Amino acid sequence: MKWFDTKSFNSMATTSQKHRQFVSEPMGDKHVSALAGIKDVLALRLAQEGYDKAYVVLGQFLVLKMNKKLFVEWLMDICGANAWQAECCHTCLHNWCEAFL
Amino acid sequence: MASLEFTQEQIEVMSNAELLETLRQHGINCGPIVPSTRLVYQKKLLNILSGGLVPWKQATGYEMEEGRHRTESYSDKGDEEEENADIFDSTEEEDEMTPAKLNIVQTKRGKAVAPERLLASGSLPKSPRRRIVPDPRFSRSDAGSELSQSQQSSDEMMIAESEKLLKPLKKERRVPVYLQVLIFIFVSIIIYLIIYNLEPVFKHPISRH
Repeated sequence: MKWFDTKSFNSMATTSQKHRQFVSEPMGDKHVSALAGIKDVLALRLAQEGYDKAYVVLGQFLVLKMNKKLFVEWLMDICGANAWQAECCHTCLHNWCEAFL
Repeated sequence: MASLEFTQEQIEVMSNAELLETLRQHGINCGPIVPSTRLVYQKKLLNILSGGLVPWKQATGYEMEEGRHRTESYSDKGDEEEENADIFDSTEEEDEMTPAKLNIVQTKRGKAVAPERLLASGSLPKSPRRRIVPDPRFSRSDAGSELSQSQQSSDEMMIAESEKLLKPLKKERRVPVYLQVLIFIFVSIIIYLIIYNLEPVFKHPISRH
């Protein structure tokens, strides 16, 4: 996995509790703030843009063909997330897709 | 200005199909060009055409405070095209990231730019964007566990709570201050009276009778 990639020094070595909880079950109707890396203000901004549920962000992730760069760029653009938060969200969605898609 | 196959204006007026075709010609496996993905693909094409002169990755959240004018936030000097071609290498594989390199560079640039940007930006388009910087401080513990319970009501609660965050932070006191002070004084008087009336320990127990 990317976590053990020696190039990515800043990527998280362990997953957060939020990440593990999200990936452990189908996302169903969860709010977008259930995504790892997406907290209060970011979740609010995403909801304002129309991405109020996690599955809508998943939709965007899939439309971008699960491309990490594009998704991270899009997320940073739409809600002002920083690179780390966007990568957390990407990793979370990517792992979820590996498990359930 | 480097000579591009298409200028930025031309890219913006391209139809979705044309943009798709152009991206494919440059060997990019791109998904559907829909309104939500169009902007990202435009930037990608610009990046590819300029040979990496236009940086791909955004900087850190400091530079997000100017709103949607992303092209301005790319450079320190306000120019759209950068000379830092070495840092933002467009020849990397598409699906691989070197967040270390980019993050380190970006945080340096972001920190250097942040105070200038804040001063130069003047009136910010959206006041909520100020909250990017203190974002990590809003540590909402157990947000996931809250949502695993009643999701619908918690969704509204989350939005309501988040909206409260946008206003200046105020601690809600369930008990007013004056009431707390009164209770404190009352309890302290009771304790004082108790201690005052306690019998001394070292007095001979028989001497009382």
